[in-house]
Amino acid sequence: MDYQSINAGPEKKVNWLDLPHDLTLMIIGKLATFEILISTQFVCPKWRRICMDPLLWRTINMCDIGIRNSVDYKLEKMCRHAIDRSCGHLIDISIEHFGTDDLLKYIIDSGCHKLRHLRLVQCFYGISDKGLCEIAEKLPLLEELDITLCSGVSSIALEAIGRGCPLLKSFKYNNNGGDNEEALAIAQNMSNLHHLQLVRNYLDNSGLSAILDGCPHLESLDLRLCHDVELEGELRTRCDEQLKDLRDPNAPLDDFKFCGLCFEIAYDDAVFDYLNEKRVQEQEYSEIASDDTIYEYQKREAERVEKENLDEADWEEIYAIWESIKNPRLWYKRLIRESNRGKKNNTKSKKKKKRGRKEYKINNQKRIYYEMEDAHELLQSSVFCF
Amino acid sequence: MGSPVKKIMLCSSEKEIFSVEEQVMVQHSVIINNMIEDGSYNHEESKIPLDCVDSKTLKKVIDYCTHHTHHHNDNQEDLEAWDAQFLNVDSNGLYDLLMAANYLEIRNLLDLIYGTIKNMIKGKKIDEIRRIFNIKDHGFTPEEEEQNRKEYPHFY
Repeated sequence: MDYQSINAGPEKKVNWLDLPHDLTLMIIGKLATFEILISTQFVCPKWRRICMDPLLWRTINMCDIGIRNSVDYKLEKMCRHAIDRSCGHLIDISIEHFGTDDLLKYIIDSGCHKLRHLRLVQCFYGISDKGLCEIAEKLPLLEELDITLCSGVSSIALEAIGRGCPLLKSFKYNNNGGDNEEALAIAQNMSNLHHLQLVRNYLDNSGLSAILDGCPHLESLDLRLCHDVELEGELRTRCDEQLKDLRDPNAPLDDFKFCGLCFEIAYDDAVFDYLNEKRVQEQEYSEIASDDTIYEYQKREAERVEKENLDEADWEEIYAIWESIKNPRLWYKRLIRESNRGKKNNTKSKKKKKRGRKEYKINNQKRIYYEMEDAHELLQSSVFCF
Repeated sequence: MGSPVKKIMLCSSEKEIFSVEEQVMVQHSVIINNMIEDGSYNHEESKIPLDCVDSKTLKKVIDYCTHHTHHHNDNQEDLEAWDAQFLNVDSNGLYDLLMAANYLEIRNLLDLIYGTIKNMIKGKKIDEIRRIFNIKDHGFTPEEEEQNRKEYPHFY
């Protein structure tokens, strides 16, 4: 058919900006917070307007970002920015790795009192009893709380949450090393619970009985890896009668990814490996660059930065240099550009007086690029910037 | 065997007529379901005009609905593999499918397309996204664009 080939010819190119507003909104609404912040909002003004809509920020999901990104970007700062954009409409927030007491306080101080779902996964010691106690009474609508692998949380926080959040229906307290004390705190303070997950908890049968007594609405209970519980006889019958869904201590862990013993160490190791990998990469490229060494290059770069009176802490500039070092092609391009510039105006001799200050700057950069003996130090002075 | 399968007529923007099992479309498309239910479709003479859906896209949409009607009992993996194969189209094709699925209100297809687009955007730099979605004239003023690039060079 001739008309068909005319209409659907290869040169027909659609413009995604013509997409109706509600469809674009749906697409952007499906994206993770991280994607929106680092790319989507800069694609075009139309998308940017949508990305500024506070209603889009009712849900903030910053899980599964990956260790590389959590080293390269300041996730906590990004998260605060996202919270700002919600203008107090925040309903659902998920945080992995970088949650701290300060961040929780920021959520409350930003007026997000309508929060219903709060997930703080693998925050280790970033979240403490104090932090949770402070926010508990300010979140009366909270329905779901997940504090998997937040090792600093004990029964004190659980009591405060139980008192402050009467609507709490779903609670996950996995792999935090809790025992009967926490079980009692749950039983006595969270009577409205429907779903409870206590993977790798050290409660025993008395703790379990207390929970069954204290939470009459309980439908599902996950006791995987709670090996101190012995589900036999009367207790077993009671569980089967009261609960719709019970995962016993030996049930398979296929859908639970936080079952390792030393999660914090594993995470630190992964961060350390990644930083090492970066360092090796840089060293490789520094060997590629033959006569014009990186040191000299940096020196010139520092001069240029100084000449243009840029702020000493201009991390973006530093990032650009670094990026070019990582990528040999970019690096050579930059070298060629630099050498052309050097020929045009020979600035090296003019600047002898400021040598001292320059040395300082060079050393400062050098510290960031190469002397990463302590990987965690680099993490602190994260080169990437949001 | 039994009563013959009821068919309905769909008419693409090129006026090509497609005859589809009524049940297939009713099950997936909210809008066709409504038409059949409120009696505005006459099986003897009506054709449902779909002026904004071209033949190529309509054929794909019908393929999708037919497959998901007849294979909904297949295991999840097979269905997902079929879906992935089904949406292995360029961004133009995806755009047309999205518009068609939206027009006909086919919810599972919409969700599938949203998921695909999400994966297309995930982990991409801004320039890549613009290329994928063929956004040549993005609409930022040169000053704004320059400032953004300067401020966040590693996003581009």
